[in-house]
Amino acid sequence: MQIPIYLDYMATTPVDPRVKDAMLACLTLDGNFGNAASKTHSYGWRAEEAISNARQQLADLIHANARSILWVSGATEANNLAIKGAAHFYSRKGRHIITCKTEHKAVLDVCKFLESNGYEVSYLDVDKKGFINIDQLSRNLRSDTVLVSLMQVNNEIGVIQDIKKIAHLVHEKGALLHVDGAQSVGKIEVDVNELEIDYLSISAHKMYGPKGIGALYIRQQPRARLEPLIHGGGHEQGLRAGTLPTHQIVGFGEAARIAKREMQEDIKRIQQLRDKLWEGIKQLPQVKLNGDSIKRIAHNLNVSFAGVEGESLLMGLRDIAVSSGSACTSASIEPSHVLRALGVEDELAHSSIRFSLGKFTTDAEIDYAIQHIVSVVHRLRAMSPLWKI
Amino acid sequence: MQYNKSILHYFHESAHVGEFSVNEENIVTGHAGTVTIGEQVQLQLKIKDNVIIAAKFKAYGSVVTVAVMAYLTAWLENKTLDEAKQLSVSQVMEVLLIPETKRHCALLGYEALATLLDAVKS
Repeated sequence: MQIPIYLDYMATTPVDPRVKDAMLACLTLDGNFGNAASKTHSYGWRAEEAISNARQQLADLIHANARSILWVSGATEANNLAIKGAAHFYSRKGRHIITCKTEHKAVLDVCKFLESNGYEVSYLDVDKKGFINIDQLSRNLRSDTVLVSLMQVNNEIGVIQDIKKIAHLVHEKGALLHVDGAQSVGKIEVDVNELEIDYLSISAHKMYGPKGIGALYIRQQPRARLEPLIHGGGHEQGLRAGTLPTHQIVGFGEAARIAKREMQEDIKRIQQLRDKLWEGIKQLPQVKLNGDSIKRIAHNLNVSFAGVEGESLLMGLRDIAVSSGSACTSASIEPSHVLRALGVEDELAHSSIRFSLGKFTTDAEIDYAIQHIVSVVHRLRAMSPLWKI
Repeated sequence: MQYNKSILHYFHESAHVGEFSVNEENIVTGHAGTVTIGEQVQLQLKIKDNVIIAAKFKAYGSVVTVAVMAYLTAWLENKTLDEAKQLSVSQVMEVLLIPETKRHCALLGYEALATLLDAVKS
């Protein structure tokens, strides 16, 4: 058992060893190192073929056509491209965008940027369980709304939005739907056709692929359009310039292939371990699960521990690697904007921990984690002049 | 935030955590901080013949706050009251290498000691 025990899979995942092997084969002189844009020799053709295979592998995972997959550097870039790209392309139709207060900063900051450039953005609320109110969405959709951007699975509380219902409403009102799928693809079944998604952001490093590569799914029928962000060379049908990193893409493709085959099995096992962890934590008095307990991915727990100060709790839990708030905001001392939107008061929000499990989490690790968490919380509560036994 | 070894050592130190029993004699108590500011500490000293023979603390607060209290109680044991009065915030900041942004945590411990020493005087 490796200490600290890694329980932060929603921050990032280690690559699957098979992904590593696939990537290593694309680096050195004796491997598939060529530039896929080199049309005149076999080094280029081989790279292009490997990338084409990977495109198909990812497309298969989300039940899409390979032509609809665009390679980008990560889900952050995918979000930027989808939101800015669609907003600019459709600006003659309107300049109104709808998103939600619980979105990742990679969406919220993009929206803020567009607001400072003449766009109007409406931020939907969520209820106490973390779900969007469909009526509120309906009331906010206008004739000049061009895009709605919503995450399928929340990165802090793991709650799953009803994308199909949302898409139906969005299309009825003549707008397009962007879904940030960074925490859903590879963790739950995602069928872009069934869900009628127009743009879907996908992150490799959240599904045992490498960091530094992602994809944007763009609907072909009917065609969703975009203005590119990165120019210079016409790659990816002119939508995203830059030499394609064969090793990254091949790694991503392999991760997608593995997910297609093993995800359902992994989910069963991870769910059992997650439920065991929750049963263990529940031994403690005054702990609270944040977010809906049912429409939630199997990998996630987000728990508030009353009576312990947040930073001390996090540092006290030295034998497990977890996060308080999202990975991107763990540097800041603001309470989580997601928990705030759920109505969790600031002090309790500060004392909240996100536990996220993955395919390499073991039973022994969960047993150890339970014992460690209970012991640390006991210690901190006993130490506190405010905690009454 | 990544803290240095000194702070982490004292943060994990449990030797002086707790409080004296209500029946224990020669105990003086000092408090500082409030729930509103998110940090609260309690310092207790057992004093005999002007010597601090035992020290205990309770703390609700950040890592540095807890570390400061653990350091204080360890340092105060076996000091005379006169020696205790010489303790400065700078000493605490220097020994624990507390970043300037966390000075308020050192001040909290210092304040608890100061209120306690005032109580002893009277």
